[in-house]
Amino acid sequence: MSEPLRIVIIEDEAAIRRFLRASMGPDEVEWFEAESGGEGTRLVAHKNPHLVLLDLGLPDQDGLEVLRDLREWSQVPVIVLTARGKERDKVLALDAGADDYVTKPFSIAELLARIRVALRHAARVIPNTEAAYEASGLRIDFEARQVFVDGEEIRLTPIEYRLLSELARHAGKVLTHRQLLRAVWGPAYEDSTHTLRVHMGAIRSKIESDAGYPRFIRTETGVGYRLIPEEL
Amino acid sequence: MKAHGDSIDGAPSFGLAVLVVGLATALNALLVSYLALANLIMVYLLGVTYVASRCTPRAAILASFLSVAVFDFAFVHPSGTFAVSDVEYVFTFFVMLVVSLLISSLTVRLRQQSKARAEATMQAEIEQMRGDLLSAVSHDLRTPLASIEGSAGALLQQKELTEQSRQLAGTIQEESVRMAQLIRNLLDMTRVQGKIDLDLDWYALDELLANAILRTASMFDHPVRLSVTPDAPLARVDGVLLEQVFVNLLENASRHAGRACQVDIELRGSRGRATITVSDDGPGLEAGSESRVFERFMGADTRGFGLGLAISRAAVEAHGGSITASNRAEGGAMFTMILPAGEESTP
Repeated sequence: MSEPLRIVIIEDEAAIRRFLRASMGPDEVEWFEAESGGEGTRLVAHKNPHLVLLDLGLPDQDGLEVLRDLREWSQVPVIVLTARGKERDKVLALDAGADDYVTKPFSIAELLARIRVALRHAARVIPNTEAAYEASGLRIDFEARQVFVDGEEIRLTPIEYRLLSELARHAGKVLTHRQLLRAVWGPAYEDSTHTLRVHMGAIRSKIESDAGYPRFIRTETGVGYRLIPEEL
Repeated sequence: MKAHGDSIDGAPSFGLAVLVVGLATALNALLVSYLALANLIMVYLLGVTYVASRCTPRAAILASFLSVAVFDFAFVHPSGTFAVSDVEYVFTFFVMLVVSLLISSLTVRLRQQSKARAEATMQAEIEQMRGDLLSAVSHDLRTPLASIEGSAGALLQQKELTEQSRQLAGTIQEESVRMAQLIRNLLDMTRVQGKIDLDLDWYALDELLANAILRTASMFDHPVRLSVTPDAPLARVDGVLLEQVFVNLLENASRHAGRACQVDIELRGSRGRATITVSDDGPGLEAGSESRVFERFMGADTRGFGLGLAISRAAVEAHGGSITASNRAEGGAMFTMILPAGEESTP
């Protein structure tokens, strides 16, 4: 890699900033640290980072506010750090434009995987031009509108196909129920979780062979769905 | 009205009833020459009310009957006997008894109500305090724990680590993960005690089960078998809480049947409800302990507080469902959970 990644971390816990810095050396990542939302926003403006890690539980300002501020002028990928049991906060953050989240306590491996996915999505300038999606035995041909599992074609209804391809276009990234419903059914259906569950169930029964060990679709309870990319 | 505190139970309570009726009789003996016979009854009623406000309902009933009997014996002509000269007095006794029983029962009920209210208020305050304290403590414990786990993880990333250092860092990481689980259990326990605030939404139960299997994958040597019948309905539940219940059941299987056990999960649907069974091929439950396993701290050992099953039962019951434990005929423990599900269960 020619230049190190620039990551801004907005987190009030010094110990967390320290281990993040230690987990990725200076040749890989150039860290910019902020303890408060205001400081963090200024850093993002000045350092033009590749990625932002944002703690939702900041003492001075609601992390969500920081995120909304940022999103008014920046499309930098943001991964939020949240506590367990704060599913509502996660959903609010994702709907407000966060790219992903990790729940504290998190492992470095998990965070690195999230960072990779977020950076890959950011790097793709026009995301909808790829002709096909292919990972771990699932292949979606966007032009022919065909879906294959281990080379065998799977017949999906039009709604099921749109749901699956929406997930595939954001592979590895969690999509909230609201985001999926809006993309497939339209803004008027944002709260129809029941409908979403029915169709996701139908897709799962068609593409997953073992209900206990899904290969392709991960449920993020209380938040949304994620298509599992190869590396996770 | 004197309502607080516990009434004196048993014999002393009856003693007080006898004493009060005796005092009323003594007072009446002084007043008998000044008052009409009917007014002496008032003194007895006063006594009965006092007994009812201080003692058990039984003592108040005793005081009522005793008052009538003594009144008859001591004051009604011919005095010194229970004989009654005029049938009119039988009516007087009857009314006296009814009024006295009525007053005593009303007094006792009032007292019980206000006592229950006071207790409920106190209980709610205690619950609130305990909940606040535990969630604050848990939050304050989790923050440094996240740093410990993360730091150990960062250490493990270092390439120049010796094998011994790697093992030590690994232990720090594993133990902090375990400690985080214990804190999570404590936090869940405070959440399910008292009134549970459920965050209800539609869920496919097999998705929650698959997540629980994924989260406990490191605890088992053999993959958990999940079978789902095609009619398994969606359920309107608190998904995060219910997923934790499934995790708790799997953790419990791993702890008691060992990591080499084979766990089978079945999800079935039938008219408005979903039935989930989690069974293992371990040693099973101790005979007679089938219902006790859900009690708090029952399964406490060096690996945990034994809160998992207690949390599970409280959470399932909060959903209007039930959970029971049994032994399978072919050996091993089986947990059966029934949850309201499908369209019918929604109001």
